[in-house]
Amino acid sequence: MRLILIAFIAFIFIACSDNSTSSSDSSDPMPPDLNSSPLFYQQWSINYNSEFYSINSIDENAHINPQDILLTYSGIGVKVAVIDDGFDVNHPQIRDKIIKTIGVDENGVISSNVSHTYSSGFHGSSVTGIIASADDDIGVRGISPDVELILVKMPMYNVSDYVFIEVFKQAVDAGADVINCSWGSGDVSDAVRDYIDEISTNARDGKGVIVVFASGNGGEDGIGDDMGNDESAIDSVVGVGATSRDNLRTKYSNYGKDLDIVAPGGYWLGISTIDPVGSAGHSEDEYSRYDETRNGLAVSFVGTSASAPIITSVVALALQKNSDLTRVQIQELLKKSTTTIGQNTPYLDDMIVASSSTPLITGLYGLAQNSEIKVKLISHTNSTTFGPYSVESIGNSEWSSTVIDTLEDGNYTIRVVSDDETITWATDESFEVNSLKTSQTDKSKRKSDFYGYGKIDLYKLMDNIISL
Amino acid sequence: MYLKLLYIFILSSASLFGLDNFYYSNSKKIYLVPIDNQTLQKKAISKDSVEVNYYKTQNNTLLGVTNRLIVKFKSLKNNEDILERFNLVMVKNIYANVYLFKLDDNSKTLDVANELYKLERVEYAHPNFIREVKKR
Repeated sequence: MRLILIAFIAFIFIACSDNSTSSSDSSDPMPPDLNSSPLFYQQWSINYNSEFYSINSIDENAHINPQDILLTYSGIGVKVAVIDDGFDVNHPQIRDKIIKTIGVDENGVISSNVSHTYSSGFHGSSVTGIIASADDDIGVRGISPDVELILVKMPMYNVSDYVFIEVFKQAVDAGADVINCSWGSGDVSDAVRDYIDEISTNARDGKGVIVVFASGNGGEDGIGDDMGNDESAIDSVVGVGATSRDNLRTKYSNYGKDLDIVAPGGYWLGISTIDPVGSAGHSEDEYSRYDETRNGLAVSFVGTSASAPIITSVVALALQKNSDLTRVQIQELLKKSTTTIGQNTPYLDDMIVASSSTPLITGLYGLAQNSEIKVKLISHTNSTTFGPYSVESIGNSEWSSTVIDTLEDGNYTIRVVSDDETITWATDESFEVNSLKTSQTDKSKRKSDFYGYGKIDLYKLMDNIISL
Repeated sequence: MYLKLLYIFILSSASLFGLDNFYYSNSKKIYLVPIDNQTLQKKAISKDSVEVNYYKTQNNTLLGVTNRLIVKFKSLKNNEDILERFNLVMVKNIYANVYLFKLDDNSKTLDVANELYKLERVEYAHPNFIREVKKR
């Protein structure tokens, strides 16, 4: 259950795509780009840009079907709380949206400091960017750019149930209508469940706050697990899974009878959003995005962490249309406003590293029992030598490692160095990785019940709402 | 004699596998396996707690138990005798009928929580678990 970051090599997509299919005919399912945000063209979850879709082999229905909704609704009058690991409150695309910042520490002590704890921190900023990035002439466009933001920083380690409750209490006391949680513990206790039920029923003047949780990205094997007793499985919570550019549920997305809805979270191709300004964060600039200026190489935000804020935004748009909607009505509307999609059937068969130069890698999980290797790339020095395979990346820790050898389709060595003291199982040993073995992935862990969950259809949702 | 030995063996096996450690969640027993604290010492930094004992659930979730527990009473009134009987010291009224209590010893937290859970006047009780949250 991890945040997944995927670095990908665009030339693979280009090689796979058929340029002759590129078209600009009038059958585009939605209007052309809405605004002047320079990165809007690559926001495939909310924008059908036929050229970008073609180059990246994106299924024509992979978006959330916004049609003209984003021209009419922007979340005006809706307060969205994002609870996460920290935020860049000075990022030009969100700073003017923030109405309150609340930091809660391990002992439940409250402050107004919500800065990222580590310079490599970015998660909360990237989640927030998907929701609220300004509709202006820089960067990306949030799905609900006119919401008012309440940013709540919580600890990721040593979180007691009491602090858990305090964090939600702070968000509600600040007036949140919707609360986004792109994280989870996997095991929720009675007190936390009870408090979330309480605010989802009685807060917001008795209409109930809408609490949105990411369902999670599987365990260390990166294969989706049953949600079990996770926060996202609470009945009063909207639990959100992830879809890919193939318009399928991703293999990493956690599932279960309590999964409410799925939304784009990416797989290979991520969700473009903001990143902390300057050298902080995980990209070189202020955005996590697709970047063709670096030979198509990109570092982007991927996982159910990206799917949840899409649903949070969609709920904000719904509340702008009708602020009287209760949490129960929102859940009913969401379930009615979906399209059925399939499972992501290809699994790991041809993932795994090859190639050369000295790409920087974070988060090596070594050889799993079923002989697969998972790494997380943060940057590469040279993408063109990065074939014939590509790299699956999974993980959320601040590890770093370096590929020492020139990697070919055979043995290679990756040296892992931990720069994060909280990861107790980090090692500085070298791993021998055999790419032949890595192709023999155990497919027995495929889950047969991946399908059948609906993907959000924004147009349908807004159409289903009777306006005030 | 043999039966007695068998009984002792079963008891010690249960203890070995942590079957005597559990807490209640959603009316179900969640079994906990104690794990070596030494490897996790640096995680135990909660300044208000004297000590943290770590457990793993069957689905591998790591849970820390301190001397604190959370209790929800069905009624706000007439709970003093319960506090007295279990030596519960109130730390905070979290909201409504939900309280954070502390004990003088964290080795009793699971047992006291489970005893409280069985009481008619208690809606739920469990340790104020310390856990890791994962970004997704």
